[in-house]
Amino acid sequence: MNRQQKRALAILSSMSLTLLLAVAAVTMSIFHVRWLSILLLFFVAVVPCVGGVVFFRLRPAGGAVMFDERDMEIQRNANLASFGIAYLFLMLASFAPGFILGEKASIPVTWLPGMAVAAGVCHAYAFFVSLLIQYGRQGERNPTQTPRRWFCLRPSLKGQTK
Amino acid sequence: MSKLRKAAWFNLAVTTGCMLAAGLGFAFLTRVNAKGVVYVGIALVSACVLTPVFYVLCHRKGFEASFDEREKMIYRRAFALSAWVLMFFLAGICIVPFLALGGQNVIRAYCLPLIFLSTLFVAQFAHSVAILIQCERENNDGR
Repeated sequence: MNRQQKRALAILSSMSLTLLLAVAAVTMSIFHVRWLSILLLFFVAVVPCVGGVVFFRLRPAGGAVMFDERDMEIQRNANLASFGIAYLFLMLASFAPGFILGEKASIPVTWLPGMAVAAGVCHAYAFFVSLLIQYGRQGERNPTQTPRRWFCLRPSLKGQTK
Repeated sequence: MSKLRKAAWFNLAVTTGCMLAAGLGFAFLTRVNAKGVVYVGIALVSACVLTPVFYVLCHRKGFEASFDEREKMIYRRAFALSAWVLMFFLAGICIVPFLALGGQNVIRAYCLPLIFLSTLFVAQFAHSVAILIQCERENNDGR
């Protein structure tokens, strides 16, 4: 697993955990278990921070190639895919209220920022999932190829320096 | 005029026309207060009419294949710029009503599809304008 995959996994897992905790916190607050919902909200704030710290702390070994043409292509594809999915989500979120309630119905203004935030979350999810899928596919295509080791202490150079 | 510039003008004109048509469509939907099956029915009929038109217009053979490297680069840059513009526009258009009206207020449901259509238009506008500006700049540099 290379550096990009590890970073994607860190962000994906922290995002998923945050979402689950947020849902649990809201559920607890509906059932009036306030102390638990406050505790869960604390973790909702902590988990993304941990994900972010892991994301930025995953550094390559000095001198290792960090980002080549293949990575750039993968990132470009992931960007396109996530952009498309976020836009599709936005389309659904825009048309659904009219479809369900009727065009003359009214909805709370809070729907708008909620829609933008949800589109952002969709984008992030799709981006990291797409990254993982693409790296996984490329690994399957070349099973004989030695996986690149982004974090190693350049073992091939160790012997040469002596 | 290069093919890229022609395409930019063409896309801009088609998008403007489509937005106007869609705006009229939504005015009609709002007038009849369409929802549920009626809404889906009208959307399906519109899609059935528009899809072949778009297919004919957009499925031109070798559209990007005829671009040279410079034009491909311009196209990519314009696309990236339009994505950024779209993102900022969307964030702005979602936050401004919230700040202006307050969280307790309500908006009409037909505003949402209009917001969506406006984002489409803004993205296409930014894309076409970015292509035209870049082409013009390169022409000026070449002189």
